[in-house]
Amino acid sequence: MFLLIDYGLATAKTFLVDSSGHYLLNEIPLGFSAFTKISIQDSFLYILARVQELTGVSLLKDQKPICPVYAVGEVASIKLKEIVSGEIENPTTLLKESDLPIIAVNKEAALVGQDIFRGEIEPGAVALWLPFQINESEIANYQANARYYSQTVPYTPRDLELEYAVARAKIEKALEGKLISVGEVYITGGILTHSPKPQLTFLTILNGITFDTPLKIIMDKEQVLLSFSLMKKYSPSDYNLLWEKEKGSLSVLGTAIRVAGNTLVDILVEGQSESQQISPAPESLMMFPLGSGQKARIKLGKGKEFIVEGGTVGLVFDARARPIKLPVNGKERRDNIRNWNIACSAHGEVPEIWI
Amino acid sequence: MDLSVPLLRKVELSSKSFLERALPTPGAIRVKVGDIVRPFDIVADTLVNLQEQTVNLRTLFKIGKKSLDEYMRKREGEGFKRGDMIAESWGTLGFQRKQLLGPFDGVIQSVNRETGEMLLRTNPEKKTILAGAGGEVVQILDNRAVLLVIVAVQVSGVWAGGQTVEGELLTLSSFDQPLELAKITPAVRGKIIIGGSFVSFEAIKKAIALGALGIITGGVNVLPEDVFSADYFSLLVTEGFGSVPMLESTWRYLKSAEARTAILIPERNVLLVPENAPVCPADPHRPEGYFGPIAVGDRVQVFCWPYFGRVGKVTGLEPKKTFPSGVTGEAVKVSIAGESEDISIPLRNVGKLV
Repeated sequence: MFLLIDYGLATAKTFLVDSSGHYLLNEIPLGFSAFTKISIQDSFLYILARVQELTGVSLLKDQKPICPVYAVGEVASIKLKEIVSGEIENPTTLLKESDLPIIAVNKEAALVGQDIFRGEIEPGAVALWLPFQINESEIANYQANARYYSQTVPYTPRDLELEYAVARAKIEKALEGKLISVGEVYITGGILTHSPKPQLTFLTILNGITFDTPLKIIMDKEQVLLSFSLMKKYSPSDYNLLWEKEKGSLSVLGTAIRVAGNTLVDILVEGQSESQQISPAPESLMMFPLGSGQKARIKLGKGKEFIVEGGTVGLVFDARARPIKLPVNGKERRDNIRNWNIACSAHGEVPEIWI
Repeated sequence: MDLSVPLLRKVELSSKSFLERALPTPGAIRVKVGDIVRPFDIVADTLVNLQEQTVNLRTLFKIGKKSLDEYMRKREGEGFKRGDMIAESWGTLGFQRKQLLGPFDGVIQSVNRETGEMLLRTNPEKKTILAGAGGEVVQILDNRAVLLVIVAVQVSGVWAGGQTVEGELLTLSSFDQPLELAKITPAVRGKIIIGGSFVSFEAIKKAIALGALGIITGGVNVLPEDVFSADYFSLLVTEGFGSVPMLESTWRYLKSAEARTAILIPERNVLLVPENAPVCPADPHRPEGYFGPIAVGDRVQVFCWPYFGRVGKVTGLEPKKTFPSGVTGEAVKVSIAGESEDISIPLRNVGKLV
């Protein structure tokens, strides 16, 4: 068993991990980087003391952790070396080393498969993908406040949209136009997985990537991928046991399918006798509701045929060219983005995030 | 419910404020560790050359590759007074005479006989560094700086840029109003301006041009990184980015300290207003630490729009609440002046004012 502390800019999450499972002991907000002058070492001891207080699990003896501690986090990797008895890892690098097809976005970086982006996103790149009008200084101010008031969460729909637009830009920067041709990707990182609207997480991914084969999108809501990655590296014999035990906590959002505009798509849902036809218009998105655990046979025109899996979001047929062409005219561009948002929000829910 | 939030100490009287007094060039330290100093005590001094000037004699006199010696009336290392003849040339038959006169009292620092460049430097002047505040010397940093522990009121900000400056405080705005361009007049020279909710880039530039030393503001738009690099100026942002009213209690304190000398230290995001009291009695009611429990009746500051920077009183705690973004989490109900009803704010988006 080992202790894993995911020490981010906003919160520290503490997990106990072994072959029998992955247990979140607690998640502690770390305050505001602007004012909270707590040292990294002090906050680390604070985290462990709080774990004991809240769970009764004693992890400290004489101010030292009692079991091997693996800490991850941009901050942790720099400053925790004196305390942590296990290796100190960079979470993005650790996820990358797992060789799983992962898309991860957090406040510090974005990972897409083997490609990592670290850095700031220009406000202009964010503004382009927002369904409402906003000036670039407001975006820059929002990002700066989020950096200095690091533990804050999106309060308004507008805040949430800004977070998504930044995440999309980071994914795009990490991928640099490369094609994703694997059949599935795992989504992790608080910005995408703690989102209240999985449809928009799904859409954010589609807006940021180029893909060709049907792409199953799987959400790591419990943030178990980090534990998988750590186990694979430090206790490979237990990795498979942990995978079997915890894979159920990964939830399928659905499958995205690239199609040429006006293609006749034939969909036969497993267990049904009659198929249904749709034909997405060029540069559009079209949603087909296919629930979790359901499968369907898809036939594109007279060509390819394959089986896909549904999920929380369902099937999304993407008839947009890559790179996605956004209208130069601001109003048209915002209309497009709203339409894509609506198209991705099936089951009667229309996000009101551009209000 | 056991809920903790960051504790915000925006204005704090501290008997352990550190103040570094540094020389521009290495010099003599006039105090020793343990000395008690007063604001006008000299703690260090050094000799500095305030002005330099380079003159190219070959270009000035058009003398090609000839020896410089026949033109120079003073030699390398020699001193001169303002108006003294340093070098001269005579044209044909004594016409077209050209002279290089001393531009100030100084010395010929060097002459490059090949290129013809002559470096003139003012006579070294003594630069003294005062303590700036009453306190105790706790460390001497070689022959460059003195570290004092002083009693001071410390005003903390979110962000600061520029270099350490020291000057009198001058109020030009109310806490909830932007700093108007028209209020920035020549009266700001040598002053640290107390602003309000916002300062524009234009206002900053005007203040710098008129010789202001710094601005304290509640909010500002994100600025280019190198905006202050060339100026003896500093900006302290107390609340955040955008237009954000300065916390009224912070503004009231600054206003009460108007005309007093303060030191703005951007590396630490603080403004220090030195106090004369030799000791600072601890406030027994002020909580220690970085986080503290929150309860009904506490005063909190909110850090999300549309209430960013505003202060309210906690009227309730909610273990689970869905916010307008759809995000769910612990919340505090806050009564904010001017709002018709209490607002549920994510617990993670507030700090407790202590």
